[in-house]
Amino acid sequence: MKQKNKISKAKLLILCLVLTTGTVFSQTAQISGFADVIAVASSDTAGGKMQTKNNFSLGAIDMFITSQFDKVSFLGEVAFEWDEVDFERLVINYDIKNYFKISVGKFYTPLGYWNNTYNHGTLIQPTISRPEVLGDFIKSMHLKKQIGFQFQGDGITKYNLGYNLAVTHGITDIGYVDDADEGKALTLNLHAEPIENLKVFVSGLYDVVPKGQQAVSDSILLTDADFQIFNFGVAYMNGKLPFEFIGEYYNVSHNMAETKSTQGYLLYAGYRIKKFVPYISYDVLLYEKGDQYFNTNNSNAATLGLRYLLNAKSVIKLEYKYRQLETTGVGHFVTMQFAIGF
Amino acid sequence: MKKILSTIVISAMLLVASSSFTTSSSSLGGTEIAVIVHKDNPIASLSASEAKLSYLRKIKKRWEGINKNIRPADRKTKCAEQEVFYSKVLGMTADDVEKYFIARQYQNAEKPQDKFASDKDIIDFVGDEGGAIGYVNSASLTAEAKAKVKVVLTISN
Repeated sequence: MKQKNKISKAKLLILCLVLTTGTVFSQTAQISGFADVIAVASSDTAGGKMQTKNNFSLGAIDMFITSQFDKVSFLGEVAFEWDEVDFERLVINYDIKNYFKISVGKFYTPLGYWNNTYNHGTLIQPTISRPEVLGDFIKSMHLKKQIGFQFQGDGITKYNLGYNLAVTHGITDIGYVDDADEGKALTLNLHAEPIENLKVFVSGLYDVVPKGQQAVSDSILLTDADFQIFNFGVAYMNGKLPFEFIGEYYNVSHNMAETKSTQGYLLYAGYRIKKFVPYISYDVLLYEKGDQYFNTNNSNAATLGLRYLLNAKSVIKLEYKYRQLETTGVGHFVTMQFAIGF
Repeated sequence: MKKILSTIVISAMLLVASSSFTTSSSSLGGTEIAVIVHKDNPIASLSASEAKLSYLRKIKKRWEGINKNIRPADRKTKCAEQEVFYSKVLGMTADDVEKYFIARQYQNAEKPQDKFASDKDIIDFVGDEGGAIGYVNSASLTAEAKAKVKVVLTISN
């Protein structure tokens, strides 16, 4: 309860900060956002029983304020979900040169492509839901977003090389104003765009979770555990050619008790036919046996979908998803999403 | 049978009519546009692909030489100049351009393009803002306008 109050106060503090900063930059501030509504029919084996459901659900109302004043730009993002309000990001950028920018605040962890590009942007995300490896798995390590600072740059040489180097709070949960450990995580992302819209990237993160911390599995770490994340991939989205694809591989290894690694990958491909994009995706998450840090639950999911772009600010997606979880078995989901930007 | 045939004939006529309407609406009657930057911008000229990368802030976000933020200027509503610029320079549809700037704003806190009602407003903006880049009908570039902005590319439909 005390922890909850602490978090609520912290959220209030950040809300004030977002609003204050928004006011300071009000001459150039713009408020935009995304929202979506979902209808889903599913047949899933939850709790050992086959259950059939169909329901409507709300996604989130994601609002962000941006402002740019010469070399300084600001972004504050708040997501209103049905049961909570989340401070997604609060970023202040200082754009010194094309190849050198400093960002401070809470930002997307610069791992891979998908995690840096979509998040709550349901209008621009190619599928309805995130791949398994970037869903609850990465969330359990608090790695969707991180608090700290990063150096970044783009447009280096004709191959459009770029980099992100981030120093952040790391894998342990820090709430908003407190950090559970002294050590910080280091993330490096190197990317290139040799052909317009074709992105290749390699990224990694290193962090130490100190002893005494609680693992995702609720076990307590008896010694410090080193975490290493390695990722690479390629993406071609919104290009001149009608097809689009994303492929990413993740390897997360740690040495809690003994060295274990989790592997995940995602594959997405779509083909644009005027305002329609039929697409397929496949993603896998595989834990190593005996992993004591995570709640191991191997999964794989295949999706067949159709996206219809009504206009620049509204999209309808219809998907069939087959998902197999090690613990609960097979599930079938037919989902429709209406996402808008405003 | 007769009903089906007449339905097919009417549908075909509607399709032909709609395609000829599309053709005539996208016929821009030889519109020539000029891509303009501030007169103090050291850039002398841009190719269409360089203009695209600059306008979309794709590789460079700041102009070299003056180290100013690139500020793209656009028209508020659909017009012949916009259609030529989008199709001939950007190679994108209006929806693609809008979606592109929404994504950039969301991902990088980048200010979307400033939108204006007329060529005159774009010329005034580019003339005032050191890092601006915009497009106007070449015919709108009077001697007074040319004193404020520099033409770096001209494109004819």
